[in-house]
Amino acid sequence: MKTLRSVLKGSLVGCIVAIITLLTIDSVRAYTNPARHLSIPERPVQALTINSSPDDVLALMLDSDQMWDTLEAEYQLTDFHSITGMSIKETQRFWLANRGEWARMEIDGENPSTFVRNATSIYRENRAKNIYSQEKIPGSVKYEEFNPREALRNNSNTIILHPFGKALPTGYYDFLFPTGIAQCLIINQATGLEDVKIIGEEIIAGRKAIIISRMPKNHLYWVDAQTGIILRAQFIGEAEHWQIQFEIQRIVFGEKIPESTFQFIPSKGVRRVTLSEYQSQDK
Amino acid sequence: MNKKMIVPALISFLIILTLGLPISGYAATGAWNYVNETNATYTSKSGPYTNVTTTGYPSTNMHAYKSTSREYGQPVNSMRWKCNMSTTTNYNYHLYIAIPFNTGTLDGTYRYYARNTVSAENFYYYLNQENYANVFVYLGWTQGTGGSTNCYVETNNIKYDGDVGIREFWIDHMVFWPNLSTTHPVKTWQ
Repeated sequence: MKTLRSVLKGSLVGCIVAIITLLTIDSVRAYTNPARHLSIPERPVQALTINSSPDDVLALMLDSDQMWDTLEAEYQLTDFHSITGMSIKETQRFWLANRGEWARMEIDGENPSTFVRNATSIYRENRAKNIYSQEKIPGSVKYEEFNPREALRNNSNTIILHPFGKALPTGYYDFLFPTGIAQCLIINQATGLEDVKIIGEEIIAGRKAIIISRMPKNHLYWVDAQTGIILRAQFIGEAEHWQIQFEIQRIVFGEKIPESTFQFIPSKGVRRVTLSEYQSQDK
Repeated sequence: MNKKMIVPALISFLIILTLGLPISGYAATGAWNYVNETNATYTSKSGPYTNVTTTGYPSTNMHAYKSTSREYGQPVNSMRWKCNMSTTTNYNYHLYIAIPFNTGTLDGTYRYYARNTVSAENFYYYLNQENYANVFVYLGWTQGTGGSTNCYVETNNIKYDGDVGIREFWIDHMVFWPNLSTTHPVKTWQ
């Protein structure tokens, strides 16, 4: 009986010591893990300069959508093949109002298309295929719950894309809504995976831009000093010359955009199709 | 403490430490508590993918899937990640994706189509994979009762914007998380 009691007592003591040990290990690891202690930089009160810190640049990019209400922009996408020397150019035009809730986008190139989003619907038109679709705005595109700073504080490994940006039919919306890139860089800088450096400044389309490098991805971003929007981006990868460049040609902030811009009128001769049929042909 | 207590104390200490350490380690470091491809809530895959590599993120949990790289003018291909679970009531399925960190050949733009039984909440998004690495990217939610026929995420290496070079398409993990709220669940990840 005494032996059994001793064994039980011993087991209990062992359990308690093990639990205390685990809790101690947890606390130490939690304290020392850099991703758990993200320093989320505050937005600078003044426009960026060459003397700003990389954190200032990331903070402005994080809150970039707070810095404008309407904008009109024209970007040129150039995709350059370093071996063949072949390149493709495409123009993407944006009209954004209510911080991007209302949007119109027109893409030229091989697959010319129009995208319109207003208070109730999203319209897509492919002028090469002569089709268009209309859909109600899905709940995911609502802005109310978007708070990138709180999201970073709650979970330092997940980034939240801007709801108005991600619905645009381009892989380059991140440069107009750079909050997702900023979140990714804040996290990856904290863990030492990526490094951001300020390497210069330049005037692009009449706007002052601070140039930052993103290594080892080997990307360069020209960040608008006042709004945090990316005016030019170059993906260099492992090549010696950039392979993709997305560059602003013209940008205007704060001018009233006529409401008719966000009304969709189908082009002559196009037929309406379901969204899934539209997407299956939009390749 | 007498000698008879020391052996059982040591054994129970070691057992609990052995069982608890990996869990506490993951929780403390914030490593992903993945709902991965073997989990009941998600998912089976169909469609072509070239290989399953061991270069994924994180290093302790390597499951990166590389879809067929695409060159200019080549056909698109898509992978369909199906839900396994179905319910009698509607849930909001929150979509997270993780892109492995990779340098070198540039990544392309993936088109994600998240579908469930409430069609009004389905969505298409284009994501330039080159911009994100080593993090989960939250894309949004769909709504419905799940099931492998009407609930899935389709990834398509559409290269929407006129790429001319070879572009790679990676996916590390994808999570389509059923939840009653439209607010994405966060706490559970750590």
